[in-house]
Amino acid sequence: MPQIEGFVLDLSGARVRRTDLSKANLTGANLSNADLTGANLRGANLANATLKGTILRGADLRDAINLTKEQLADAVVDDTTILPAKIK
Amino acid sequence: MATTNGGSDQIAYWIQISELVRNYGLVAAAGIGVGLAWWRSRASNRQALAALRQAELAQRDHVVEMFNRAVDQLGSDKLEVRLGAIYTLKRISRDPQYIDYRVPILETLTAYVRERTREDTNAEPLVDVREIMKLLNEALAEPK
Repeated sequence: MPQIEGFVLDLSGARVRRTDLSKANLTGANLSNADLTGANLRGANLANATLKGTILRGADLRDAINLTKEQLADAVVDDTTILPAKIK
Repeated sequence: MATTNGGSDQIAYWIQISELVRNYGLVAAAGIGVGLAWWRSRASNRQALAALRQAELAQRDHVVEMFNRAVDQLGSDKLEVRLGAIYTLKRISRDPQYIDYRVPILETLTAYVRERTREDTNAEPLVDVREIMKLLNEALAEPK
C-alpha cells in the first residue's frame, strides 16, 4: 500500500543524485532510468518498485526492505552500492 | 352599615380582578418577550452560519488562487520565484484543511523534478529540487 492514498512516486528518468529517501515507503514507485547515484535509501520500502535502469552507484540501501534480486538485476549497481543484508 | 360592608367587598373584588388582569398581562408579556428573544437568536444564528460559510468559501477561493499562482510560478526562470512557489505548495500540502490538494501537489512537484533534472549533470540537484525531495521524503515516510 502506498503511504498516501492515490499517490505513487514516479521519478522515472529523473536525476536526483545524493537525494535522501531514507525510510520512505516507495511501494510501487517508478524509479526506472532514474539516477540515484549516492542516494540515501536506508530503510526504504521498495516493494514492487520498478528499478529498471535505475543508477544506484554509491547508493546506500542498508536496511531497505522488500528488495528482490530481480529488481537489483535490472538496476545499475557497482562495488560502491551498499546493499541490505537480506535480499529476497 | 350594610352599605359600607357591601362597598368594601366590591372594592376588594375589583382589586382582585385588577391583580388577576395584571398577572395575566405580565405572563403574556413574558411569553411575547421569550418568543421575540428566540426569533432574534434564530435570526442571528442564521446570520452567523451564513457568515461562516461565506468565510469558508472565501478561504477556499484564496487557496485555489494560491495553488494556481504557485503552479504558474514553477515555470519561472528565476530560482527564487520557483522556490517561493515550492514553499507555498508545501504549506498547502501540509494543511489538513486542504487534504484534497495533497496528491495534486505531490504529482505536480514530482513532474517538476522529472522535467527539470532530466538534463542535469550536477553532482546533486539544485536547491529547488532538493526542497521537493525533502517534501517527498517527509510525505512518504514510514510511520514510526
